[in-house]
Amino acid sequence: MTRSTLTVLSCALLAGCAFTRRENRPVWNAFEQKLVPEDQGWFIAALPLTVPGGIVAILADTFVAHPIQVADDAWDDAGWLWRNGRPDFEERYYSEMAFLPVRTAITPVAFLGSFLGRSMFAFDAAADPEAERAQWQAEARTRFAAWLDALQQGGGEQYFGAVPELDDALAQSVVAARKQANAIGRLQLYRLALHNSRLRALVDPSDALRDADPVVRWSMLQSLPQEFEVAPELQQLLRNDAVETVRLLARQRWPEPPPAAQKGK
Amino acid sequence: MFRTDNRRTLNLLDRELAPEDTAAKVALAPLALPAGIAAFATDLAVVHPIATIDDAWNDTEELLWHSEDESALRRALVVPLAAVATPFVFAGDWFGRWLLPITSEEK
Repeated sequence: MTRSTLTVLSCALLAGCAFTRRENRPVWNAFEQKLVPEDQGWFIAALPLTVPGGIVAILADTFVAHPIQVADDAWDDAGWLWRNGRPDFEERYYSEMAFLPVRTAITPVAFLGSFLGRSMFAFDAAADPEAERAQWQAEARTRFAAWLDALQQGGGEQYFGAVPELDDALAQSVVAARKQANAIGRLQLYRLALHNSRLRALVDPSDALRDADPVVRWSMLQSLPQEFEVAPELQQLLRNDAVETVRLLARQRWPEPPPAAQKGK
Repeated sequence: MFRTDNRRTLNLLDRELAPEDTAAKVALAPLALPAGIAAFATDLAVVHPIATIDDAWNDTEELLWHSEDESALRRALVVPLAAVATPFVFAGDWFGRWLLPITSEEK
């Protein structure tokens, strides 16, 4: 048996996995419905024709029909590299530029991998990628709304999920959570806002530095990245904070300007 | 390098030199692409390895040279072993911090 025969056979066998789903074998289905006689006598009589015909139908499904069926799904999979804010030229222009060749090079590889995988193995064909995305977004929204509710009721758990699109209802929940949450809850909200631009539109992380609870002020001071800009008035306020740990941390982060500079001002 | 925090040069460029206007971004693309790649290469080969030296040393020092409630005799016995292990621990930690997605310690 030659190597090419082995390859074709193994491909056909692997492709068999995809054939576990009826919807993945359109040629075979059509062949079975239209050309295989139902009457037992004719069925047996036609076997010398239907057996080779069936094999041709399987090969046509394996190498033509099913690959054509999955091409758009594979394209959609590869498109993931270019969707949902990727590449983010607004926030990370040079970084995205640097990764642009890699992203471009990976796209056909991702397409090919997905195409071969989907051609050979049974994927959940019923699950439309759009529907999957919608479901994922709905789940993220439910989780986030539940977390906001918990904050309003005194919870203080950290939120690890994705922050969904903030529609009016969610935005109101965010504002309510910020008002009603206890100190730990507020801290979690501020920390999340620090790393999420959607949430940052509603919750200003620097408000944490004005929080009534000194632990919130101190923790936020600890978490703030160096590049995060804090108004000079607020810096001054924190350098003179009533709580020593906050005061010390603020002075360490924003040392007092030398007296000469102060005079110059 | 897959962690944003570890790409200091690229982050600096993104923060300081990225044009606001979309047309300017498009016009600058032929320069920004090689600049971005060069910045990434600089981060990968120079900036990040150098930036992780102190973290690697802190880890090594913490692991081998930092002891609490140890008797003087025990410390004296451990010192030669620590001295032998130091370059290996340091090198391993440094390579790990350089090549794996580990966030730098906050200063």
